[in-house]
Amino acid sequence: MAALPPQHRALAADHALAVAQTSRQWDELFQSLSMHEQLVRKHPLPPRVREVLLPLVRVLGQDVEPDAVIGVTADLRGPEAPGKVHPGRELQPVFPVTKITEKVSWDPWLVVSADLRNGAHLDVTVIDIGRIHELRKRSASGKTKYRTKRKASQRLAITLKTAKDAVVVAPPLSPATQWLRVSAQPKGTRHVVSAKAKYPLTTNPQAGWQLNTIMLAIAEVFRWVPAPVDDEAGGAA
Amino acid sequence: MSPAGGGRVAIRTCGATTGFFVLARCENRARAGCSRCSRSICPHHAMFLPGDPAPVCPECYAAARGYVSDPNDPDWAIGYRRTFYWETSSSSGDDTFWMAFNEVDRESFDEDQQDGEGDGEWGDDGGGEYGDDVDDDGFVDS
Repeated sequence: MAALPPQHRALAADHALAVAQTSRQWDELFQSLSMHEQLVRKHPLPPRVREVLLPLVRVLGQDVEPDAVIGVTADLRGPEAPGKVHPGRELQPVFPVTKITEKVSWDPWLVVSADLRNGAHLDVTVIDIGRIHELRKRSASGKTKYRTKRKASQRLAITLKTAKDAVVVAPPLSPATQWLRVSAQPKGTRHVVSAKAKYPLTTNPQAGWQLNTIMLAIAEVFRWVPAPVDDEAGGAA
Repeated sequence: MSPAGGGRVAIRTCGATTGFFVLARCENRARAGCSRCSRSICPHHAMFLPGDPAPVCPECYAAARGYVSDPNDPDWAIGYRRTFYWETSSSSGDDTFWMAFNEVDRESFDEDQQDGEGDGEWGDDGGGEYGDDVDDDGFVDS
């Protein structure tokens, strides 16, 4: 572990990373991460590193200048890590339940920020929210039993601050992104297009679901900024 | 171009599609042509398939390699971009999303988009393998 690059070590040991660096530096980190299993026997990487963080940063790396940085704050310790679960509150129990304590976990596990090469700025925030019910109940035989129930949802927020004087047009409604609430507001010579969503998390999501969900939401804000007609290069925002 | 067929020739710019959401064309000076789709490509975007010395553009290279599932692969983003745009457009029923990508990608095939005339290696002076006999009509995106 000690021989690993600091960011690689942070992801493996702490399951957390907060860094802003260029695409080249991200490539170096990903190169190191690709050899993780050969280098480190214990301390496996959190699955979201390869499922979400790596591909998302690689995608955004295509849209930034070589010397521009992509900022990432990733906390992949899980929703019930210290500091993420708020103090509980008592709910009114209904017999045979004799006590209910509700706790809420707030897990902003991914925040990404990037200045794009066309002058726009993109922010991505993913937050997992969990409602945890700790129950105490009395069974028919008189025994006291404890049970914990969890219900998880996720909030996704994408904000695109467009390039100066970029035209913003509401696109045709898309069935694929009906779950998003998208709005655009002028801000000086720019516009701020934001897409937000809240949806339940399933226990066994399909492979690639998380990345695809984030990508769809990012694509949706870019749909609001059509490419300039007279721009030969065809910039998208 | 002079009646003698020499002198002024068209400059070719690289037609490789760059970016993911912010789509653009490379537009560096092209030094070769893709052996599969004929689009002009600069040295930075010229790629070589195993056992084939002829250069190909990144799109044709990705198409020839097939689907790359590993994001660690340097070519993953190119294939993923095309797949993502196509699948998103298909699932949403919104053709404009795919067209936004397709238009940028196809611009490099459009003769009208070239930079006019000047000294270059793509003329009919015999200086280039992909001279004026390049016919972009009828090509389908790789």
